[in-house]
Amino acid sequence: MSLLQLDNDPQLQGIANEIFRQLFQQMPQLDEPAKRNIRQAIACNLGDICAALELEDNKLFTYSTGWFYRLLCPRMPSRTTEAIKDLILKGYDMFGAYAGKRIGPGKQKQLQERMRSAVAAAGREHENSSCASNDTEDSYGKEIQELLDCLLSSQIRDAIFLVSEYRKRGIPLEDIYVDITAGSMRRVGDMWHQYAISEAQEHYCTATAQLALAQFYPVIFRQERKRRKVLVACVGSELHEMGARMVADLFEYDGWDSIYLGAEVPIDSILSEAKRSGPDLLALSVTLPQHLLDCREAVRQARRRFPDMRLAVGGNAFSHTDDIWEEWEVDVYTKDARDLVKWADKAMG
Amino acid sequence: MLGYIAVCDIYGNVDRVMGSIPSELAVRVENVGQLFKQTEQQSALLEKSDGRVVSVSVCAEYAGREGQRNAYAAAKNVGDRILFLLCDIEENEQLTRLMELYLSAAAQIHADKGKPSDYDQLQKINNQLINYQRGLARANERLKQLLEETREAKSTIDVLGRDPLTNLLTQTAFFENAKKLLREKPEQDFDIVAVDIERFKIVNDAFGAPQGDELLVRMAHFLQSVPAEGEALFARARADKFYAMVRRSEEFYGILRKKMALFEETYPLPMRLQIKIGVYAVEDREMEIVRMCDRAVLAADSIKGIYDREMAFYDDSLREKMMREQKIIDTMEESLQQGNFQVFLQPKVEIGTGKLIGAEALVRWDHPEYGMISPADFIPLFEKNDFIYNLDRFMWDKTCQIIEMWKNKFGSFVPISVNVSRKDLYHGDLPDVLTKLTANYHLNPSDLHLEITESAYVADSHQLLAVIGQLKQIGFVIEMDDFGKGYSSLNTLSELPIDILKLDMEFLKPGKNIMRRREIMRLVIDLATRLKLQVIAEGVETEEQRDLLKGMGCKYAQGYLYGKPMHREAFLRYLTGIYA
Repeated sequence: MSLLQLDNDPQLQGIANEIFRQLFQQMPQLDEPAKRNIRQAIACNLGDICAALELEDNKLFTYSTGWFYRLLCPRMPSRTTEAIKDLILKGYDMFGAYAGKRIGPGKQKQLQERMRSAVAAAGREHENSSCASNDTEDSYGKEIQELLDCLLSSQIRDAIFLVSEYRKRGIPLEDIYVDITAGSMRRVGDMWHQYAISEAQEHYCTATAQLALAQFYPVIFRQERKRRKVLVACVGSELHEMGARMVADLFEYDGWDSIYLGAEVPIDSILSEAKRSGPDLLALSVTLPQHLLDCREAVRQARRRFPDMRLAVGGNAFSHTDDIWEEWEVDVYTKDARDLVKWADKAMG
Repeated sequence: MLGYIAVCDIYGNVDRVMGSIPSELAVRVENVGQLFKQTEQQSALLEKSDGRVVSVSVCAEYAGREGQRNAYAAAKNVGDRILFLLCDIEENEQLTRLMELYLSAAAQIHADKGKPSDYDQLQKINNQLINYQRGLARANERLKQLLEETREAKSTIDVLGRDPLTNLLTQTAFFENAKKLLREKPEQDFDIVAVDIERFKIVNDAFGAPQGDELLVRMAHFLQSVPAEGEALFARARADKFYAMVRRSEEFYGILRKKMALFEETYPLPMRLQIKIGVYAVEDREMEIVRMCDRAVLAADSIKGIYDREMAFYDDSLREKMMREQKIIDTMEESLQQGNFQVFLQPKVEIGTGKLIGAEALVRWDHPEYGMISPADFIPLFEKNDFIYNLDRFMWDKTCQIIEMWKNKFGSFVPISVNVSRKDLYHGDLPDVLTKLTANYHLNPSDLHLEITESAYVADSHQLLAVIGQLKQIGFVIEMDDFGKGYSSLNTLSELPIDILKLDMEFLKPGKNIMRRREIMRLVIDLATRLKLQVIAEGVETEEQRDLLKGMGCKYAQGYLYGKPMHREAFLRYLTGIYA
């Protein structure tokens, strides 16, 4: 079975529009940007559960549902959680009817059960968990908060200065990247999700964080070369390329030469570049779960064409799956760029 | 009720559902044809797509409980797509819902019109900018690394560097190694030696570059063959300049002198080699090696052109001299503009009677900082940097002025001689310049005598012959100055159209072979007389010298005995005394 991607499937688009229409009826106060935002979220969610179904990954299915549910809750303050769950289920019913045609009647019932239990689980999780996720687990909690304060108050210069100060304080560059900056970006993402900041603010914070890291480029590219090469790309129509760029940057800092292709890279382009440059390692990054299917395909083709090339995958999307990479022909999955560099140095000397 | 708004292609295949009532239509309908009971109606509608509203029969599957119904449909071309509407209401209350459906669809269409999320676009652009910045930073650092590697490679080459011709160290390598040696041997005294082959350019020019190269190679071997205690460094700095760093030792210089003399005498080249050595004793070890070498070169330069000096040791007076010379050069033009150069005149007299027969114009410089500077301090410098021509022209002009003025005052006047530098003779316009000058001041060329030093004759007699011949033809009187100081040949004496010979009394100064020199002087005076040349003895200071000259047959003299060089005002008073 291959469920079509949202972008290519008009029926799926139709479902998304209908879900939105019904939701909008419940939220007449929304302005155009907010409506657009929610429409995108709906499309994203449908894309995620399509991927979850295709990959047969229950954990991803549950996560996607929970994500959507948690997105709607703060945006529909006048609705009860039960009403929100009903709305989602209605939308999922429409989706179920569509998907059922493709997965067969036997699996359709299974799908519907899965959808119901996912919605119920999302509700329970939302009621039980606190909103501040993983704050206490961050090893540079103070620095993350400092940086976040600068980002949220639109103080670009302060943010840039602060990040350079971290280095002067002796914090390793890898920790500045992976723990502090990525940590603050996760919190920004959470805040947008929780409707605490607008889309504009979220983009502004991202842009400022990228600018702050860019000041390290002279240091990053000045390191002694190891004569190793890594090819890094974001698979699918990703706008969230900061994670992939961090991978490329930290490899450069470790003395590798990086070929960084950026975001929205077609699989053909990745393979063509791999053939041209012959990297020691191909690293693919996926942030949104809906792009995991593209990543799987990219891995499959890369492995077939370059059987000896090392392949690595990573990104936020994988962390919400049941270790889906284990079924793929990759050499490694790491949770962050720092771990990948360490693995690469160990594996390849 | 039925409400369905979708975008489809010309065949009715649905691209996008904008709204549907009931909602399952959005899921079930893949082609709008499914909604029509009669396919002809669908065809007709889609083919025309002119926006007209028509009544259609709805397919039973979607007709609702009634199983059959009519509805209203319209299709309109929008670009390469068709906007399809189908609706039917059973009661007026459903109109509200229908209108909401249409408004929602309209809003979607409006929102979709070329407006992807602005923030997404901005983020894309921002990502691109950051990626460009990354790319630039990477390229920049790569370039810096390459430049650094190149510099290191060059530096390595320089450090190991050897002069390809002589296999001595290059200048850069010498500096590095010398610095290192000083550091490694703090207890040892070292000297820097600069060796220069005088007029090396003539070797290349006259005998060819291979001969020149051969000389340099042999010079290098020679230097390395002089036994030096302990560590020694040798370098060919550039062209014909060599540096050495040796342990300080009197013995070394003694051996160097002897071997150098032998080298000069026996070198198989049809010209006499002159090698000058300058030595700087290293005291301040923190000084840059290049400065130490400069001081050694300064010492070598201080004896350039001095025949019997082959070696000189640097001392601070040399440096002071160098600084003073630089100051002289820095201020010469300004001084000329401001009239700090002055014409002094020294009388020439008949020995027997003391009668004034002429005068020599001599330059004096009243320097704004140093006061009166002797011509011996600045003339050689001006000859080196070619300023001499400017100065000489000034002197000639002033002298002509004086002659004209005094001619007008006294009715007639004695000729005044001016110095013409060897460098002046190479100016092709010299005869014209002098001719115009005398004409401007209404003088005869014979009023202005031209003193040309003997060494100029030796340097390039062909060139000199041509110019002097021209000047003689015009009517100028030529005096050979400083005869006896250099080594003019008999041939030169016979060929050059000179009128007056000026003998330098230096030749008769007490010393070795004085009697012999007196005889030679007597012979020269006799020879000059026979050649009908006037002879003037220059530098006569005592009566004893006067008497000696008289006894030799010399008729004319110039010197302190008869008058020091004096300012024109003083000379005027001197003249007034004579002509009164």
